[in-house]
Amino acid sequence: MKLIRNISLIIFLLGNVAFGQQYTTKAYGLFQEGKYADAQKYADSAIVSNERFNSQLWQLRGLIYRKLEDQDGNADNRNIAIESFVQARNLDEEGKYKEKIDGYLYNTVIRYYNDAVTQMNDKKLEASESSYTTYKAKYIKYVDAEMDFKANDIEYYTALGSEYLKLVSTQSGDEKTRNTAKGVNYFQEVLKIDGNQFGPNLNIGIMYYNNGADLIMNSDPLTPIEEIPMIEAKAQEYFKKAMPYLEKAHQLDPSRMDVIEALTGCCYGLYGSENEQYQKYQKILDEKNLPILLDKHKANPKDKHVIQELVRIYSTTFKDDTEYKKYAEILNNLEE
Amino acid sequence: MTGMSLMNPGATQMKDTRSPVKAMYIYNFATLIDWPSEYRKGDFVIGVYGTKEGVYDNLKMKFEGRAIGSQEIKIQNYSSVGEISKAHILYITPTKSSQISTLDSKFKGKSTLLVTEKEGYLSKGAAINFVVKGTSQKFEINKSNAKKHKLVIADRLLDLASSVVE
Repeated sequence: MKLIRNISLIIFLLGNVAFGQQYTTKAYGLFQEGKYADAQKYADSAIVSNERFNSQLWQLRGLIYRKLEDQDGNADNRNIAIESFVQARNLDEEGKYKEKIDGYLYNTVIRYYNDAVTQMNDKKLEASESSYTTYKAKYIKYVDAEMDFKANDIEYYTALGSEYLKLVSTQSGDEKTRNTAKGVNYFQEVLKIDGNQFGPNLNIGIMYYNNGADLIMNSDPLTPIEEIPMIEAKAQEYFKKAMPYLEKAHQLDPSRMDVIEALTGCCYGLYGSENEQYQKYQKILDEKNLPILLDKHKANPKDKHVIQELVRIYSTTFKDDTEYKKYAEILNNLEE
Repeated sequence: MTGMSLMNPGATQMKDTRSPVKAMYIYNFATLIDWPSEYRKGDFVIGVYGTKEGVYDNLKMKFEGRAIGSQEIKIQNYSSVGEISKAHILYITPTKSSQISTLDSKFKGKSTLLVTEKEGYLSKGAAINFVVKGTSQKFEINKSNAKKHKLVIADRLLDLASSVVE
């Protein structure tokens, strides 16, 4: 019995040798057992043997290297996986495995995109941009040379620009200026594709507005009097840059109050409170805010900030002497 | 594919970018105007009559505790004329500017620099009035109103005024 079993084993091995697939078979078995490092050794041996002309070997090798990347995070393994799938496709002259190999390549290349998203979430913005660029290059090279990335670019660069907008809100000085320029650049990439995108228009406007406002708000209190107009002029350059983007955003969505608020801020910074354009935007804001302020005042009649706003609105935007005097008196009584 | 969530466009909040500029100017007025000797003792009081938001907040945050010569700067806020006592500079906010005549009488013979922010108020008793010229925050000066309060304005300040009334 023992002899018969040994004879069968020899016949099996000889059979494999005869077909020239012993490394591939071994690699496949180890792959199925989840022993990827061992499987890699056999697959790498196979590609320098006569087995190298088999498309399935290269597919298997690609899958093994992808698993290795999952384990150690080494990006070189992903590149080897891609090269293996490409070789598998080259050897598949009849297109027997085309669909499968295309799927493998797509699912491997898409990992660069996933990296870009993960890195963005981890605030590694430069690495994210690099991964996204790699993703597009590899997608065109290996997956679809005709791919149109416009929609992806709009989504990705809007999100990346928004991350820069968040980043600069915590920064100051040269760092802020540098990163603002980067953020604006990404939003402008989107606007080159579609100038009617609301988010990028608003965000470029806000980035410029905030930069200008911060120059004034954070200026050195002991600035010599001759230099004050220079700070003001520098800030106003930013307000001027912000205006066309904010106006476009307002045109695209007139109901957005954050756009109107930014426009009001720019006009106030540029022209002061007597300006018609400023008053136009301030009126829209006050129209919306007045009922809210009145409700707030009802709920808490001692909220000074609310009363100050009511005094301002009734003395400027909606001139009403009776209401103005009423709230001014309440304010005076509270302050005394 | 990992889902990428689009960020909401960043929210902004309108900032009062004129008040910090006015506060810096007011501080500079303090350094470029001479007060009579009896005003060069004790604290240097800068008062704001009217709302606390804006110029008062900026002055309080950035200048209180600093010095003009040997005098420590104190920033005061007043909501009624009755509260206002000795002040070196009194900035009257636009909503309170209608009371300039009352204040001018109240400070007659005293060395308080009255600063307003309303067109035409130099002729109503203010020595300095904030104005917007083009896009710039400027100020105009009435020399004789300053003189009435025994205040001497440096040429450096006069040179920077958008207009000077003798």
